[in-house]
Amino acid sequence: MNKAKVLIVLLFSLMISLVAEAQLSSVVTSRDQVIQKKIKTFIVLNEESGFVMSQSPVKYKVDDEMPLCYFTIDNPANLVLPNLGRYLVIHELKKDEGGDQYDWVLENNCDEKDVFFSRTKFITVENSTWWNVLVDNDKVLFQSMVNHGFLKIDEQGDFSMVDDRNAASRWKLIYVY
Amino acid sequence: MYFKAKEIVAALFLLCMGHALVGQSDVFYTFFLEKEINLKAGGVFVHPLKNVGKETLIDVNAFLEISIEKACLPLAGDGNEKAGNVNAWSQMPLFWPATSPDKADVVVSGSYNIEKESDAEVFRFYETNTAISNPIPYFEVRPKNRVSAEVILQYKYTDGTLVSDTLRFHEISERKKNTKLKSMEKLLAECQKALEYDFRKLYVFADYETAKFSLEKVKVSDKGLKEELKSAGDLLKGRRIAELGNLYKRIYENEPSKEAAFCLGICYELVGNYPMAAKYYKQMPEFHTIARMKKSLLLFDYLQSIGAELKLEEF
Repeated sequence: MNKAKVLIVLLFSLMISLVAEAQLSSVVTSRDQVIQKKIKTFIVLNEESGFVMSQSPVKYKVDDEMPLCYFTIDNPANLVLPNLGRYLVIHELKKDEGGDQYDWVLENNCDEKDVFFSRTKFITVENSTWWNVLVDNDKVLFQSMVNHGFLKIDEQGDFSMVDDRNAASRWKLIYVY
Repeated sequence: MYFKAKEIVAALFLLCMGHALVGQSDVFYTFFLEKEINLKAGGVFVHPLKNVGKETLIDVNAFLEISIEKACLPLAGDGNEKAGNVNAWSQMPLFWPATSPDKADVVVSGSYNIEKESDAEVFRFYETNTAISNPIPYFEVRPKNRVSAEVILQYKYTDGTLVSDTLRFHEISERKKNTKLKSMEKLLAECQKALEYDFRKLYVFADYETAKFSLEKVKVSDKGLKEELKSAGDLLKGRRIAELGNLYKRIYENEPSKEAAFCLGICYELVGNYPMAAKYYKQMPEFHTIARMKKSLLLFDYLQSIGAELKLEEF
């Protein structure tokens, strides 16, 4: 291989690595990153209803500041579920200056038969906050680990659980720097 | 012609004086032709520019008026020299506002169009971690703000000549990783600032820079001249250029040398006699003087081309 070809291969590799660097290695924020406040935040949008996931879902507007969520993994053993997805915990990002510094996570509360954001401090069933992320084309579905139901949001912005995968809401993750 | 002869003479005189006035020690300002401008001095009448855009994002006429006011203020003398005249090298108002198009040497008219646009590009990615069997897709929305401006100016001179000029501004801001999105307000403010700057530049054809003039050591055998030469440094620092030039001229005529020619060249340059300066500098070529002479002669030729009567200082 002559020098020119080597150079072309190197440049190509460099371009690939730069493109790869621009993308996220994982949507999950590690514990260290949470401590360092290097949180990978997302607008979690259901385009059918137009709602953005949060404690009080709001309608998506491009120009407005939207509620942000981030994902963590409680148990590293759950990092990979071959061909299925991963069990992630969905947190809503709260701004410190708002005074609400608690950790709010999406919980499938089977006792109350309801889905809502709860403070971690008051969660008794740990895996009620674990959500298996299933990929459907370029969107994702959230499946609860507790009862294997799927998360749905209706036209009023209320969360519920459904058994039928087809009836589940598809969510678009929009990464926000 | 557009320049009035006596004003040009006064301007050149002040240009020469200007060297001494603004100089510190042996550092002086030199002036050169930056660009030829469409306003060739005299009375200027400006018709308000027509907005051909859909909306009024920037009131161009408002700051055009301010720009003209600044450029056309009467000769300073009230301690407001800097603001009084944009054309700093001459300290003279080369332009003044005409009360009507009939009384103007040049009538400016034209139009402007300022547009803004916001959109966003959406990119789809997947996690790149190879350990993940089912990478999660995510999107990035990169909003973009764009502001563009086009100002078309037409200059109509008394002899019927018509010249057009276009000022353009185009700025796009995109939110990317490590890059903040500039708000539309900020982009419009930048656009206004750029246009204001461009308007101000319409009145400035000569620019200036500082240059340090150091006299070369000259060997002189004549005792009288040798004695006189001791005061050369003080003459330069005291801005007594006419005396200094006279001294070096006598030295050069008595004992021609390239060092004496160089010093005489400096003196001619400092009084604005660029052709003579170039002639003497040639005997001892040096990069900085060649570069300065090139610019200065351009200014000299330009002034001559527009009919300025140039009074050249001799020693």
